[in-house]
Amino acid sequence: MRFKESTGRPVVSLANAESIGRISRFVIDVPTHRVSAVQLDKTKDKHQQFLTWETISAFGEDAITVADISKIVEGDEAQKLGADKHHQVIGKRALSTFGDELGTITDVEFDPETGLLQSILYDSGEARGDHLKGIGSYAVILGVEAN
Amino acid sequence: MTRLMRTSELEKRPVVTMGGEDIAQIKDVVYAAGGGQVGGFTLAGRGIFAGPLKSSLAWSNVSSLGSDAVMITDEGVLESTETVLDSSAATGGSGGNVLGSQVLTDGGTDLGKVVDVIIEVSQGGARQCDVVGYEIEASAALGTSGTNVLIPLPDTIAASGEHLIVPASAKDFVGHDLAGFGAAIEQFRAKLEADR
Repeated sequence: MRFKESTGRPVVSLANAESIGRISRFVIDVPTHRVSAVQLDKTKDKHQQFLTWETISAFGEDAITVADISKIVEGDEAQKLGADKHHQVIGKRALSTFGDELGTITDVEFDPETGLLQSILYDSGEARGDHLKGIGSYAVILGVEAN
Repeated sequence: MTRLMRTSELEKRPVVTMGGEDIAQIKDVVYAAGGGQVGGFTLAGRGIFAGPLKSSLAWSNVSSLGSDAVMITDEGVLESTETVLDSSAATGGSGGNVLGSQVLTDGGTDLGKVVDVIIEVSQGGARQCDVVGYEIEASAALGTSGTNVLIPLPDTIAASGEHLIVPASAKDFVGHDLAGFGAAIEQFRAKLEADR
């Protein structure tokens, strides 16, 4: 599954079948190469916007399901930092660990079961998820050689 | 894999951490080993209004020097400018600024004035960064007066800041672009080795 197609997808409570939010941003944990949380918008309380990956019941094609609204939390510092604009990847410059520009990040493919990143797609190629070395305000660092 | 670069192209190149933050940009190249190697870089802040930084980057702390960025592990590898300048000087002088110096052969022929310095960088895990040639504004002796040509350098050179002395055979290995220049340097150095 990919970031772009999943963004905007509704989050539904299994307890009362209500839509309780919408996927807005992904929080990536770089050392483990996985999605650690998602940030939502359209939540009932705008101070409660985060879903930790483990609390998601299913990340489906059409909706994300959670047990109930209590799974949507305020989010810790790490999650808030990971969701800020400096740590978003799509549209950002992709730089190899050798210091060569690879292009611009176009999308990220992840496993909807585990949250593990499968590939980082950029406009001239793709890198394996575990080749992600860093996400910063200047660039996303990928451990691949320039073409 | 190695590649050649003009040091003039390094100016303003961003210094980026493996975390993806651009924390500085190159201001000047610091030469070591009598001008035969790159010892490090002095730095400036990023952005139009940012001035020079108090910290510098020693070559030994560069993870990789690429076409678009200088990669370092993190901000912690920067050292005080004094430390970087002193350790480069300790290896036999900084070689000063060679730009504008006159290149003389050991036979006393003026080949021209240095306009740029060519370095050889190996991709990843480079343990030294050699100065392998100069781009010079050619004198009449090279038959292409007024044009810029590349001349290969031996491993070690004598430089005074005013003159640089190269073996006379250097003029037989002159290059016109970086693409073929790597081979010319190898041939030139092999010939020097053979003549010894």
